[in-house]
Amino acid sequence: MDNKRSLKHHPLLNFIGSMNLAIVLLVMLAIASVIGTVLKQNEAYASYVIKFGPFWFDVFRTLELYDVYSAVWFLAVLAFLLLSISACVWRNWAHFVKDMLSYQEHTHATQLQKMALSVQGQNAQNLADFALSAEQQLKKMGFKVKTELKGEDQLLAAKKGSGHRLGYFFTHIAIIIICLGALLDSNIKFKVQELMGLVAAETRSIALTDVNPKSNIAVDNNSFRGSVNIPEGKSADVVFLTFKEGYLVQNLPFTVQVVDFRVEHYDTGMPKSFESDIILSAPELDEPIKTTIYVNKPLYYKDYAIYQSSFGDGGSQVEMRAWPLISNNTNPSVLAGEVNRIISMNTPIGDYKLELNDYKTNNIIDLPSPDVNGRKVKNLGPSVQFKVRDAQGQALEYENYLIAVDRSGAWYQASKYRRSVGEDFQFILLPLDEKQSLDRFMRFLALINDRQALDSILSQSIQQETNPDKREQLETQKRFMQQLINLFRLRGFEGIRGYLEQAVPEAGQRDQVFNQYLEIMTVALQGLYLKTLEAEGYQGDTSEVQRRFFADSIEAIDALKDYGPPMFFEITRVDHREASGLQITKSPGKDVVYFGSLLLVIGTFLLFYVRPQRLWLLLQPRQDTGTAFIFAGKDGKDDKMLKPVFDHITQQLQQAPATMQGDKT
Amino acid sequence: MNAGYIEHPTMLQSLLSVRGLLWSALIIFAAWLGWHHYGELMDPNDRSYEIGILIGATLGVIAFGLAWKSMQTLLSFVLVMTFIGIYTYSSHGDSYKAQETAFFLKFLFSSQSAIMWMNVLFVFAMVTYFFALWRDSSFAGKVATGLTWSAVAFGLTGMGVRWRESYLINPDYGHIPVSNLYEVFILFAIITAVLYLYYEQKIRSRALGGFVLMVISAAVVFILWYTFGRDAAEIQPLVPALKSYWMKIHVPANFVGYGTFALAAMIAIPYLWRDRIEKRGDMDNPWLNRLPTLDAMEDVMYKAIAFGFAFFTIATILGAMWAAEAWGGYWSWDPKETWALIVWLNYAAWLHFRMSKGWGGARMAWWSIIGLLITTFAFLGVNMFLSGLHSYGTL
Repeated sequence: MDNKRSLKHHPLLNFIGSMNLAIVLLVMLAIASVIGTVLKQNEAYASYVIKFGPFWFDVFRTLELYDVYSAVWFLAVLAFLLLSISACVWRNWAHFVKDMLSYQEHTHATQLQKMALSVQGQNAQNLADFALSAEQQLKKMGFKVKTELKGEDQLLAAKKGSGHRLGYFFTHIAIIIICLGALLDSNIKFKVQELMGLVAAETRSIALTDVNPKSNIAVDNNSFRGSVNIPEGKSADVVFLTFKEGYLVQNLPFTVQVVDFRVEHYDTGMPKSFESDIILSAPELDEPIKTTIYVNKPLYYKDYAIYQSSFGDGGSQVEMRAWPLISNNTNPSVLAGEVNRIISMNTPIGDYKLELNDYKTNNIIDLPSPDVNGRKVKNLGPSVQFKVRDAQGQALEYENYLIAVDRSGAWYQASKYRRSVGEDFQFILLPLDEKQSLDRFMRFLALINDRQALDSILSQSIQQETNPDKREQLETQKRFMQQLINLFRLRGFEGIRGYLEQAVPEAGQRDQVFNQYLEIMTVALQGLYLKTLEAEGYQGDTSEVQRRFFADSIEAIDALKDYGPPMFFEITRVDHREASGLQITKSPGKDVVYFGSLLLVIGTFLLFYVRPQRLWLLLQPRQDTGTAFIFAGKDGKDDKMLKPVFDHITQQLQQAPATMQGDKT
Repeated sequence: MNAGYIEHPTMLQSLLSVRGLLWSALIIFAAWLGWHHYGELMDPNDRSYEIGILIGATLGVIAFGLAWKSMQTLLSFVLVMTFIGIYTYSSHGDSYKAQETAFFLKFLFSSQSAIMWMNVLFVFAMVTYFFALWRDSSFAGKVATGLTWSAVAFGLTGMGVRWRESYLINPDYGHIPVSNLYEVFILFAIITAVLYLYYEQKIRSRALGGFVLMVISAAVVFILWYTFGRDAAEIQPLVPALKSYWMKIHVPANFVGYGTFALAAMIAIPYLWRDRIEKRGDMDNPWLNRLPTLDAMEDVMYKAIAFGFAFFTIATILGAMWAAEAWGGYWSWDPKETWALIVWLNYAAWLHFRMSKGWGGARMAWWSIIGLLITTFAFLGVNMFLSGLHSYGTL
């Protein structure tokens, strides 16, 4: 017996099973979990480098903070915690069970008298009758009673609420079960396999057949959570699992075909519902399964679950016109491409790769104030997202809208762009002419780009001048205007201001000079604009609309300085192909976790709402005056809870004429 | 405080009285009426679950009323008020615009009016409770209690009418009003108040009212700012992920938890106040007669947290089960989920320390206040500052 004791109470076991350790571990777990909520998890490493800089990026990476919930140390803390709970249960289970089953019928009179709730008295009835009525009374109050004979005396030992201890077991074992279930569903085995060199993440965007064999996971893998985008009409028998900096390809023992994908929108433009009609075929099925899945209603097949989780582009066909922006001609080239494909462009000014990334059917933006109809959002219509990559591999991101956008009564072609991932998107609005086309703007721009055209326009007034000195002056002015316009074209208003900072030392004068320059430039540009309108057949005075067009054009040209590669891609037509975003999971641990959860709930209720209470009634016969009794009680750790019941029973026990002797309540 | 052992009537006995039977009949009738008129609006794919929830809710409400008589009065009023609201809409051609013209809607029972009444009444109740405590006036106390009950009645009416209104704007928009931050803040105020009123009856003291209503008034202030500053009262349709019967059970269960945690934290304040008085040895202090005993207050805190913890555990598990159907996994370490876990761990620890280590007193009171801060971050902070799958109610 001594050996058994020392094993159960070994100091190491005591330490591991101690509540203080558990608390420390839980606090560590809580802090680690919080870190994971504040630091966005599982993002591309590139964005972390941008956010934190190379030094801290490396520090956080070593600490595994980008995937903290699978970090080795996090799992170690969790494992330790489980060990701790197990040790606690191991240490306590035997004597808890004993306690649950025991009536503690060997308690002595002196112990009863020492209890906080304890009363002594007498009852006129004889012992046998009294014992019977007392037992009935106790049973009526929900107690289980055991009678123990001690010579002439009788002890009724009563207990209630033994289930309470069960609550302790259930809750703690439940935590262990839940964690084990979660372990079954985690990707730890991939991590282990990676360490062993059996598995490696694939990072390239390539065809399935070219994928690194180490990134290919066999069908018999027991648990995973992956996603796949299947274009309408196509099918897939793999899903992709994010892993470290890349992905793994999980092979499935069945094929899922998306027959039709539908998305419905609310009148606000937000998605209302999206669903897929799918066919699941597998060798063991006589008839393939045909069903419709939508959000909140997955398809369950054997151990697998197929969810409708998102949707995307399934290779929409895009037709564009590429307008040259720094040329003096306006011949746009026609391009055709597909979303998720790359178009190579060889232009006189360099080689570019146009990557079409996505086609969105709706773009809802919040309006700063409600419009005429009282709506607070506006739908800008469909857009195409793409990147233009130069020969050095640097990419600029764009999003061009198909439908003209109106702002304060005029119509524009809108384009969003940004030069790098770290920046915000900027908008550029190219004004549209009365025919809602980009023609006029592009011709105007071409004229500005055309040095000879500018030269000839500006020279016109010079040729009319006869005075040679004046001519000289006008020539100088002409060259100055050309330079100004050039500067404006390349670097916008900012460029002019930059030039002024060097040219005009006096800060106070700069604004004045800037305004003068602006006036000069505007005159020249107006000349070019009028020429543009002439070419369209407009003569005479310009209309309000046309004047506005001019102002908008200047603004747009100013914005072009940051626009990047010298082309504007006007999206002329999109043939929308949708792809259904499915998530397919296999989680053997799910039912384990659910079982553990049930145990946890039952255990919690037992712990809080079932109180372990004990009552003892020691009866001693008195020859002359019936029975003397000692009545005592205990409630878990809080006798106060038992007091009302105790007092009530005490009253009942004293029903027949009795004399109270000693009261220790 | 210890009122001694009283033989409470069992629920069965309550049921088999005239009042109990009338009550049950009323609720069954109301449920039947709702189902008769609006049954076809139930999502046909989830019909069996929705009917199950309807039956469960009916039985639950009946049982609630039998166990706590005040609920019968409250819910009877709420049924009448909600009925008037919905009926007025229907008699104006089921037009959502009727709330601008019809008297009963414009001034009383349209969801916006009812919720405004709730807001005002809660704030008045808080002031009255404090006044009652300061003046030791039992009359003012009774008024305050009445104001609180009225606020709850209007709040529940507002939610019921809003449920109907969501269908009136557009049948596609219809949903139970617990889907975004605005709607759940109202739920929070109501539940916390109901919990308070329950304990107020149990401990037979109105002294704690002002304190608890402080957190409810803070919620009211948020609701008002959100309504006027962000037009949050406008009914928005549900995103696909929220279209599920799970929302009807996971969200309310969570708020029972949040409500109890808030209640316990607010009671910690007068607890610490009285504790300070007693520690100073200032036994002649007049407040000692007005505030409940430390034991009584501690008891309420413990019981509230234990009750809330049980519901919070269930709510988190329900959330996991919902996630497994909607998001492909019962746990994604999404910020909201993770913070819910942290709240759970916090209160599990609180209960551990109280039950196993026997901690009590000022320490636990302070801890329950800290617990509220953690809960608030999980409730609100995550939506405001962090993003994730749960961002349905970003500000």
